[in-house]
Amino acid sequence: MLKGKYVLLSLAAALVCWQVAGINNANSGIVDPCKSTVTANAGVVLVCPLGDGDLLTAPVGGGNSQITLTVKDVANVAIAGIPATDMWLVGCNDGLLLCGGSQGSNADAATTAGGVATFSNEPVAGGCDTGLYAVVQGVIIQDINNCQPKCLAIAVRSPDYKSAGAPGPAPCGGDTRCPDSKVTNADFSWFVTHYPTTGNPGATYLACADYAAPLGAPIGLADFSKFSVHFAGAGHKCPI
Amino acid sequence: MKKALAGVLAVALVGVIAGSAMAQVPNVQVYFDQGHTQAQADCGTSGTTATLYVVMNNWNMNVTGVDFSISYPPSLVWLADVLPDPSTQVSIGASPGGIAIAYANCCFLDGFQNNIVLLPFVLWGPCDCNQGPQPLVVGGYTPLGKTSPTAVRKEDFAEFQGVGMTSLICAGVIATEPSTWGQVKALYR
Repeated sequence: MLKGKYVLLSLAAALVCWQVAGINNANSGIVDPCKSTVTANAGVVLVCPLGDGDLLTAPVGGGNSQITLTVKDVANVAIAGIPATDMWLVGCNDGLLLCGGSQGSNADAATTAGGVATFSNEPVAGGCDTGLYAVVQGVIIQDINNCQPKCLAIAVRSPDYKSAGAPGPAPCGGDTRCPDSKVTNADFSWFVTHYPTTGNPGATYLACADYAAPLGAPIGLADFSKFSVHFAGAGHKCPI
Repeated sequence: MKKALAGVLAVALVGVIAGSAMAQVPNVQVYFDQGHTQAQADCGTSGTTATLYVVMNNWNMNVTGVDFSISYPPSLVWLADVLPDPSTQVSIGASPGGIAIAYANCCFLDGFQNNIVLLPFVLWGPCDCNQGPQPLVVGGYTPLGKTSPTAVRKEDFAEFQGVGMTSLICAGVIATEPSTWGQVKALYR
């Protein structure tokens, strides 16, 4: 009888040990945006609705702005195996129009055993924004220090800044942003307003029209050349 | 009159010397023929129109953008700028004050060849070769403060500066009164 109790207690202890060990390796599967982290070097990239902009690994002027994301749960345990399609980028100021929705800016691959994923490709998008948020399963990753949305200082600028109208969004005036996922005469006309000419020598500088090095005023030939790569001929557009 | 003659000779000489010295330097020049062999021409008939040919020479890179300006002499009235292939090229501005031309991804310029980049359409005004040579000068895109033509390399959008060339109307000087080389040389002493 006594021997049987010892056996039972031993089995119970073993079960507890097995469960504790299991806890160390398992995660809840629920992303904690404040425990997760996202980092990248600052940079500027041109993005295009066709997807042939600047890679995050090759921003304007050199360097590398690849984004590294580490996803963790509330217990600070890394979450592996989150599909790439569950992670995407958006503009910090809602300034980007992603081609095909979130699939226009998915991660390179699923999270690793350490919960890590990277973003090497620029968003496939129109618009303009001063920074990027990383989103995991619909939740914006926060700054681990203050649990506020972490805006990465990667400026994103597209030659698709304006809408040509129906069937796209309504056109908009001035420097108001209204991308329509295609680079059209509306975008060219807007770009020209920021390009110094004899008739408009004091054209105002707008960072959203500054696509090429050297960055900064005034908008120059390199910016025009880069814009035209996506405009001249058949203007680039979102294929979806 | 002798001073005027000497000035005319000097301008013509500078044009010729510059032309040969700049032969291998990246440059932009205006030609009077489609084969871009004639950088000099006589006066055209007043009131008739003509097409000029602006050519990028010796850039030796793939070009996705170029800008420059053209200073037209009084005998040539600029009417319009025509792009060689408007379906794949876009421009901002006009050649008298400065024009920037850029190219579609499909159809950048092979700068290892000498390409026509613009076809200015002009009207001949009153023109008298007895008045001496008239320079047709390529300069920089003045709205951006440039003094020379520049072009952008396709691969990295880096900008490079070239030389603006001078073409001549009435390069062949016609003496209007008898003179000798000795008298001409004396003007420089």
